[in-house]
Amino acid sequence: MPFTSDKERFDKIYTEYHRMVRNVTYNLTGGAAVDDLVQESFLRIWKGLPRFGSRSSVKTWVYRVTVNVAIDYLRRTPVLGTLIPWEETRDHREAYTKPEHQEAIQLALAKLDAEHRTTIVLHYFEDLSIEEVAGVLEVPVGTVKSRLHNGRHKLEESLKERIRD
Amino acid sequence: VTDLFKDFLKKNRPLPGEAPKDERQAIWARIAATGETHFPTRPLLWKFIAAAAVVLVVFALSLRTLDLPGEELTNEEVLSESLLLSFLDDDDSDELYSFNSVAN
Repeated sequence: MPFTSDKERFDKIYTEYHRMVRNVTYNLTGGAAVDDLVQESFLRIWKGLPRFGSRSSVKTWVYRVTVNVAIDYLRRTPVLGTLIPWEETRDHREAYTKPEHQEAIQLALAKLDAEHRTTIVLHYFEDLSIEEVAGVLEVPVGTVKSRLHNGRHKLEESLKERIRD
Repeated sequence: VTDLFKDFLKKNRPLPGEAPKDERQAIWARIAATGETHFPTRPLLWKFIAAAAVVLVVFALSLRTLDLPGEELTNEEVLSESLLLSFLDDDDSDELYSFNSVAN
């Protein structure tokens, strides 16, 4: 089997990053099509693997593919209409600190535009540094800082309203 | 306040839960459906083949140059060269003749 190593390489990427791909997809798209989008991301990773050089790390590349798949989906589907209500997914979320806060954050995120949401998710939820976020999104560091500042401000305002209600 | 908010976000980040158990198989099924279950010839391999072809062509050309005994002449060039030679020969004979005649 001359291509076994390619499959092994792909399997390794899946094992290492499938949870991350799922988390990012979920936080960017709202959850309605997570399974399908995760599959789509890995399909693109499979197709792109032969062309993937060493220009960036595998992690950065996998993040980039995942974000692109999610943004493509958002262009086709408005996220607010497809958010899964908290009650329907409760049994999957034992790790939550406060379920109502999770839901509030998810809904507040959905109000952000894709650029701000992606930056917030990658930096605060995925713990990527500002430089790493810039690498994934292929934008300058200053742009990431600006998006984080504005996005955080919008998120705070939205959360204050929701939690106050 | 900002640090508290960052901490709040990190602690309460929404998580989608576990992936379906058959997710890996589902992905392979999708890959199989595209028909691209093997990687196509890789760009690196193409680059290698192209480089090898260039090296071969250059090598073959250099061999051909080495094999050539000299510049091939056209019929006209051969003719003019032989005429020149005969002329030179004539010159020599003339000179010899004139030398002999003077000597005599």
